[in-house]
Amino acid sequence: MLSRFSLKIYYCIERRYCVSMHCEKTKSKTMKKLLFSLAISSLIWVSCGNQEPKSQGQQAENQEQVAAVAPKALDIDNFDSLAPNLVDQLIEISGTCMHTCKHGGTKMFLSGNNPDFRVKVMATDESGNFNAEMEGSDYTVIGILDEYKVDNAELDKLEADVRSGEQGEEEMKHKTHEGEGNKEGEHADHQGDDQDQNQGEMQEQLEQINHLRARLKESGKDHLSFYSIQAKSYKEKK
Amino acid sequence: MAKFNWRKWNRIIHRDFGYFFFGMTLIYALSGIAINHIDDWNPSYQVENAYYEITNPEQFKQASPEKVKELLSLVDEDGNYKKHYYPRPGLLKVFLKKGSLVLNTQTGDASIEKLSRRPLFFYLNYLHYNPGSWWKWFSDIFAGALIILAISGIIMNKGKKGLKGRGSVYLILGIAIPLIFLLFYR
Repeated sequence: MLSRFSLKIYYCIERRYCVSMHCEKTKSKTMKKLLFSLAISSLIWVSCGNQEPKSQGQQAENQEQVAAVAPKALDIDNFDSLAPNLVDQLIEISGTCMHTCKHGGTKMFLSGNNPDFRVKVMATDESGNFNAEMEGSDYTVIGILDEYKVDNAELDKLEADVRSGEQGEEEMKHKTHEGEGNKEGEHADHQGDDQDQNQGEMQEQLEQINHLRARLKESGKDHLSFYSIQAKSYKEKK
Repeated sequence: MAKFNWRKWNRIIHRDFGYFFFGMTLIYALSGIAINHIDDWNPSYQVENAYYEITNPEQFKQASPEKVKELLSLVDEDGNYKKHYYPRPGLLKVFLKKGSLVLNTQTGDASIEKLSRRPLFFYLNYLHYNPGSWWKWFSDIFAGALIILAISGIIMNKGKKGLKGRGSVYLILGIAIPLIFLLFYR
């Protein structure tokens, strides 16, 4: 009876041992598979542009070269006079968010005391996109001030693109859109907000080009400047 | 030396990537459908419109914030005032918390647009539109994984169900459809 019992226990132990051995093997295999999958993932990560770690010497050298840059204040109410001297620089600007792009919130327009004057702010990977709930609230944006210069040669090129049906028209629309409240493109009511997203007809685009030609002539300069801000960050002013 | 069983590893990669990127696939697939139809609906917000007729609208022609708040109380929007301005003479636009009001100060026609976040799609679309730089990297990894999933998928089976059989028919059809579109609709 006792020996039978012992045998049973032995059998059980043996079986458990075998089972656990089998488990170990399976675990090891699973781990190997998992590691292999992870290795592939890491390869993708590395191939996606992860830079090689810098050596300590390089890091020290870079630290010496890097100086903190404080954004320069750009008063939205004096935008036209200040902007030309701040192109391609890190700026900080505050204003009321008057409109955000309904298609993904990739841009918004800020205004100061004059709601008819608007500054276009483009969302970037750094800033993240904007959303419709921001409209009507005050924001401070830090970003790089961009300038798009339009001269006669550029207008000729745009006109040729529009006539040939190339993409230039849409590009021009985006780059020269100032979001000025009293202009035709302004979103005066809710219906207007939707219309803003519709592509204009060729004739409309040509009229816009002619309008720009007239403005260029009036200005007496060799080019018109359209400014926008590539946002690095934005924060609501409470 | 044991022969390298690439089919086994191919299955492992396909399976594990499938598990890991299941969530990402749903995020981009659902938000992709939502954004595809952006002209038909607002994929992130539910938009509710209400229309009113305001009597004696001239009183709001050059209104102070206090006066505009009086207008808001008439349309049950007390406490929702943010700012207001006049986009053009005779038109008042009031920014509300999650919405806006437009009043024609000559005719008294007013419309209110109220926005509320769609429970699921707001967040899916938020992720779809690259909310930050780290997400960009993660979504790039996901895109790379999709390529691997696609390749490992087509070479997974052998025989009639694989590339030597009906697999190649589906493969050619799947490539032909976008090519036909490019040829005839571009």
